[in-house]
Amino acid sequence: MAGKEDYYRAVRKKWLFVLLCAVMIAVALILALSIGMYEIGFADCYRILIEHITGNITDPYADDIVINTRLPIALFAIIVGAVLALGGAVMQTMLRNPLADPYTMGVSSGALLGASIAIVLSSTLPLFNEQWVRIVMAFGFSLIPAMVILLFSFKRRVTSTKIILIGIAMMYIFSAIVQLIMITASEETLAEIYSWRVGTLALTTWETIPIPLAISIVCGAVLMFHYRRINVMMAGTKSAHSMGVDPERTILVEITIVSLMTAAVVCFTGTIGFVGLVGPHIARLFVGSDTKHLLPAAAVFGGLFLLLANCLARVSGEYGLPVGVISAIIGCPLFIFILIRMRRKSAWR
Amino acid sequence: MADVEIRMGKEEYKSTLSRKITFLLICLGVLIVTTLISCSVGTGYEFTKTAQVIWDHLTGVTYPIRSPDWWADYYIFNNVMPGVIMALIAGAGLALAGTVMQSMMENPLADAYTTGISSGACLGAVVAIIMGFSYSTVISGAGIVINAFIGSMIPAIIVILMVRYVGNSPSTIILIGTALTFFFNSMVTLVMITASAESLQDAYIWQVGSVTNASWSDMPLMLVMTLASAVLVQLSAAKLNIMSLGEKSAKSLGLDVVQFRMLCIILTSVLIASIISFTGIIGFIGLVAPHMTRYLVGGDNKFVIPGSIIMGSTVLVVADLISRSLMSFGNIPLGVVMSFIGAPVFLYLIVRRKSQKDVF
Amino acid sequence: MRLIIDGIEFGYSSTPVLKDITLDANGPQLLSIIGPNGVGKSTLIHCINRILSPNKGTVLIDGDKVNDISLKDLAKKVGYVPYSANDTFPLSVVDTVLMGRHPHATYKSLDKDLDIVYDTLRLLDIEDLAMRNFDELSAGQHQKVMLARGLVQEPEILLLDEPTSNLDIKHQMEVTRILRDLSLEKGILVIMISHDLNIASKYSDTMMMLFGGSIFAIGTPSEVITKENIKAVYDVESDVIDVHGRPHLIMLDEEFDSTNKPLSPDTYAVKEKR
Repeated sequence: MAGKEDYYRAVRKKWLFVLLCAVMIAVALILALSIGMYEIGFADCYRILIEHITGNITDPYADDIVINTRLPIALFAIIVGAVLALGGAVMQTMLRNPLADPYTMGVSSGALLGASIAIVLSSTLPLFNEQWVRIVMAFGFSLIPAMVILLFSFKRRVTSTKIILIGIAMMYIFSAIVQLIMITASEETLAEIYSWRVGTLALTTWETIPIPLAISIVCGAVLMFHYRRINVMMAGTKSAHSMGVDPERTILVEITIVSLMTAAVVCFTGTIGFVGLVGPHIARLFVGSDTKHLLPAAAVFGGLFLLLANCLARVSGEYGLPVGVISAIIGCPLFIFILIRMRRKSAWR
Repeated sequence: MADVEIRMGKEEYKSTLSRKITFLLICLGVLIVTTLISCSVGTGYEFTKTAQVIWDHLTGVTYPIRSPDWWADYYIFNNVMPGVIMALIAGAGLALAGTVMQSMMENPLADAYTTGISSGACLGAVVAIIMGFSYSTVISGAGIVINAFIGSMIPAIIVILMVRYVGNSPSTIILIGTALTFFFNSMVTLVMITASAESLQDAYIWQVGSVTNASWSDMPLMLVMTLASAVLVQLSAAKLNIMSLGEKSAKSLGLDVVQFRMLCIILTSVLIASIISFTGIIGFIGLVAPHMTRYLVGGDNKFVIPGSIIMGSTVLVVADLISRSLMSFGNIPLGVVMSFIGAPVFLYLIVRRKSQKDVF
Repeated sequence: MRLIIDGIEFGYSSTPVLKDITLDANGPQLLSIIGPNGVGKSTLIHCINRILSPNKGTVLIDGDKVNDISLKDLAKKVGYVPYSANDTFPLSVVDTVLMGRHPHATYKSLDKDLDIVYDTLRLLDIEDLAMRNFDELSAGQHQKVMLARGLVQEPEILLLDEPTSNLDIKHQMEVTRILRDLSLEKGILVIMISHDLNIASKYSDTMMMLFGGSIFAIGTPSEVITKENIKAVYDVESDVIDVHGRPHLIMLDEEFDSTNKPLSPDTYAVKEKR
C-alpha cells in the first residue's frame, strides 16, 4: 500500500541513525584508547585489542595501559552515557516534560547526600574512608525518594502529578541538607564533597564495572521492552487510561526502574549532568518522538557523546577535566546550534 | 429587579476589593513589625529599646559619643540593619521577578533563574573570588559585585538574542535557559575545581546566598532597581493577567506578546542581577512567594504583585532572623535557611493543590 | 455488545454530579448524550470506561462488571475520543493513531496495525496527512486524528466527547455519518456527547438528555427533542419541525426576533472596495 511505504521509509532512516551512532561508538572507542599521557597510535590500539583477545600479547606495557586502565574507563563512559540518556528519554516521555531527566526524582541529590555523609564521617570513623562504603551510601540514599514515592502510593491513590512533585520536593529537601553540610564543613571536606559531586569517570576499574553494567543491561532491556506503554503515556493520563495503560502504575514502575539504573551508575561516577537532559532532545531531533526508536537512539547517542566527551577530557591532562564539565561545554552550544538549524523541523513549537 | 442585582454585584466586588486591600495592608504591618523584631534579635537589646533607637535615629537625635545609647545606635545601624534591610529588599525584588516570570512563562514552576542568570552571576563572582578578590576591602568587595553583575548579563543577552532566531515560546526560552545554566554551571565547576580549598569555600559560601556582608552602600542600587521595577510591573499588571491566558488569547486581546515577553525578560534579568550580585543565589523566594500570595488573594496580578513583594520581604526577613539566631551554632547563611524553609513549603503547596490538569 | 449502567451515582466530596443513572443499551446504535454545560455528560462517559469510579452502582459490559475486567481488556472493548488534543512532543499522525492499537498490538503486529491505521485515515479522508506532524494541523484535523485513534482500537463501544465541535458543517455531517455507518457495519455502540442538537438528532438512533444529574428524557430523537423538553432543560424557546422524520430545532429569541433586523449597510459602512 502506498501509505505504508512512507512510514517504513521513515523508520529505516531512524534505524540508520542508531546504526551510525553505534558505528561511531566503535571508532571512538579505539580513539579513546589511544589518548592519554603515554602515546599509543590509533592503529596500534586496534592491534593491541586483537592481540589481547587472541592471547598473543607482544607489548605487555602498552597492553596493560590500554586494557587495564583505559578500556574500562572508555567502556564505562559508553554505559553511563547510554544509561543517563535512556533514563532521560523515558522520564521526558512519561512525564511529558521536556525538562525532565533521570535525576528529576531526586536520585542525584540522594546520592550526593549519601556520599557527603560518608565523606564527613570519614574524618572521625575510618570505616567511611573506604571507597566502597561511599558507593554503597550513595546508592542507598539515592533510592530513598523512589521508596518514599512507592510507600506513598500504597497508602492511597496518588495521581501521576503528585508522584512527580513529591520526587522534586525530595530533591529540594536533600539539596538543602547537603547545602547545610557543605556550609558547615571544613575546607577540605567541602572540596572533597564538591569534587564528588562534579563527577568523574577516572576511578573506573575492571572491578567496578560488572555490577553497574549488569544492572544497566537488565533495567535498560526492561525499559526498551516497555516501549509501548511508555509511548502511550504521551497521550496524557486520560487517553492513556482509555487505551489500556494504567498511568499511575506505569509511572511508578518505570520511575523505579530508571531510578535504580541511574543510581547504579551515579554512585560510582558522581552526578554527571547534561547527557540525561539534552541527550534525548538531540536524539529526538534526528529520530522523532516515537518511543520505539527514541529509546535506542537516545541510548546510543548518549553513549557516543559521553565517550567523546571523555576523550576530550583526557586530552587535557592525565586526570583531565571532569567529563561532566566537558560534556556541558561542548554539548550546550551544539544543542543551541542544532535548535537554530532545525528551527522549522524543530523538536519544539 | 435586574438593577438591584447589578448594584449588589458591584457591592460584592467592591467589598472583595476592600477586603484584599485590607489584607495587603495587614501584611505590610506584619512586615514592619517583623523587621523591627529582627533588628532586635541577636543584639542583646530588647524590642522596645531597638524601636526607640531606630526612631531616634530617623528623627535625627544624636547621642554623646561613646555613651551606651551611642553604642546601641552604632551597633544596630551599622551591623544589624544593613543585613535586615538587604534581606527585605532582596525578598521584595526576587518575589517580584518570580511573579513576573510565572505569568510570562505560563508555567507555575518557572522561576527567575530559569534563564540561566544565576549561573552567570555565579561564574562572575567565583572568578572574582578565585582571582583573589575578597570582602576584606571595599574595592574588592565591589569587584565581586561588578563581576557577578556582568556575569549574569551574559546568559540574559544570549537568551534574548537566541529568542529572535529560534522562537519566542516559553518552552524554547526554558530549554535555552536550561542549556545555558548547565553550561555556566560547568564553567563555575571548572574554575572551582582548579581553586585551592580555601577559595573554594569562599566561593561556595558566596553562591549559597547570604546578607552577612551587607553595608549601606550596597542599598541604593538594589533599592532603586526594585522600586522602579515594582512600579513598572504594577502598571503592567493587567498585561500580565492577559499573558497567563495563553499566547493566542493574549494576542487576540491586543497584546504584543513577543515584545512584552522580551521586555519582561530584560526587566527581570536586570532586577535579579542587581540583587544576586550582592547576595548570592537565594532560591525559592521567587517560586514560593507568588504561590503563597495567590493562595491568599487570588490570581489577579494587581494584588498578587504587591502581595508577593510584601510576602517575599517578610519571608526573607524571617529567614534572616532565623539565620542570625542560629549564629551560636555556626555560620548558617540566609540561603541555606531559605532552602530549609522553601523546600517543605514548596512540598506543602504542591501536595495541597488540587491539580486540575497535568502540571506537566 | 450490551452496556448496562445500573444506578450509578457520582459526586466530588461536596457536590453530587450524577444521581441514579440507569441505562441498558446495545450496538449497533448511535446514542447521543445532550444537556446543558456541567450537567455531567463527560462524567458519565468517564464512569463507563473507568477513568472515574462511581460512588454507587455498577457498569456492566456484556455482563461483566467493568471493575473486574483488566484495563487492557477494557480498552479492547471500549474506545474513547477525548475533546481536546494533547500536544507535548511532536509525533507524526501515523504514530499518534498507532497508539490506539496498543490494546491489540503485539511486538510483531506492526504491519497489520499499519494497514488498519491507513484504512482508518482513508476513511476519514485524512490519508494525505499521514506523515505530517500532529502539531502542525488545524483544530479540525486534530479532531479527525483523535477520532482515528479511537477507531483503530476496534472497540465495541466507542465513547466520544464532542467529536465534531471544531469541524465545518460539511465535515460535521461527514464524521457523524461515518460514526452512524460504522455503528451499523460493525455493530458498535457509539455514544457521543454533542452540543449540536440538530446534527445529533439527524443521525442518532437514540438521544439521552441529562438534566440535574439524572436522565431527563431518553428515546428517539423525535421523542426527546420537543419544545417542552428544550424549554425545561435549556430554558430556551423553540420550534421543532419535522425533516424526513427527524426533528429539527429552531431556536427562538422572541423578543429579539420580532423587532430586530440586521443593521442596514449605511449605518456600519462596510463597503466593497471598487
